[in-house]
Amino acid sequence: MDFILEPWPWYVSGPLFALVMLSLTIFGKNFGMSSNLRTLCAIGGAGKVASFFKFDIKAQKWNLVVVLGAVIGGYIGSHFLQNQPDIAISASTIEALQQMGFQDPGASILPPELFSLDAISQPKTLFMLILGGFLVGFGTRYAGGCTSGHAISGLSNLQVPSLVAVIGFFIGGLIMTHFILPLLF
Amino acid sequence: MFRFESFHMYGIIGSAVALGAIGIALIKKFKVKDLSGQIIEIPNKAKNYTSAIIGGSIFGLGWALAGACPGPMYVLVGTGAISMFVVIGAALLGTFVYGLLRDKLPH
Repeated sequence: MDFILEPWPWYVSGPLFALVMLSLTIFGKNFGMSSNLRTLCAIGGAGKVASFFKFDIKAQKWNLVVVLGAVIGGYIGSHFLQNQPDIAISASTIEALQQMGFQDPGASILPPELFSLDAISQPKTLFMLILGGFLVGFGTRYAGGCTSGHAISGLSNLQVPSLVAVIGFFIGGLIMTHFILPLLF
Repeated sequence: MFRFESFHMYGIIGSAVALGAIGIALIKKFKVKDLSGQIIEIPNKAKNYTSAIIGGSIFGLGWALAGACPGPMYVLVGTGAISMFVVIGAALLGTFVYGLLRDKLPH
């Protein structure tokens, strides 16, 4: 049973994603993790200022149940199913991150240099997290979906717009990783 | 994943899409019904290629900067990463601003 406590290999995680996506489809919903941002904004009253947020909130509340599930899953996964906190990243990635100033890359999923409570009280770190989050929230709704909605659900449904979105994800991700992050660190 | 130094993420997405595509094709072929008894209809994505590529790129920039896309943000909160609330809050702001600017943006 020990293998459950080890990081799950891609050929376990990937099929599980497909299972989640297909289960949600059979429940009459769809697998997407960014509609909840729109739903939350609508609940907060954003419908008063922009028509994008005027819709039947009750029909979309299931998004939030999926979010709750994700939070619970994270709790169970990290507290009961993880025998070590470190992440398997390649030796060359570790070296590259060390050169950027990260002390122990891979020791935990979120490097403390960026995500500890100390770190986020520093303006530069806080700014990066806010900017990153903002771009995700803005881009995902502009594109009509995130990696779950487009890469997994959309591509499974052979949707060309999803392929274009995924290409976009990669363009953005590669530009940030190879050109901008090295400037920031 | 954007350094191409590890297969893991590609394995996950690749196997998820491979199995997902088979599943969706079977659901369509056999006109499988959902729990409420209706035949499952999976809507096609709107053919907004401009918003897909621009929005996608913006998302990609944020994804690589914040280190998480929306799903993992919530999962990480579950693991106790309080700082993710900053990222989630900013994401909500980003979505809100998109909603405000939507009519002025190319789609």
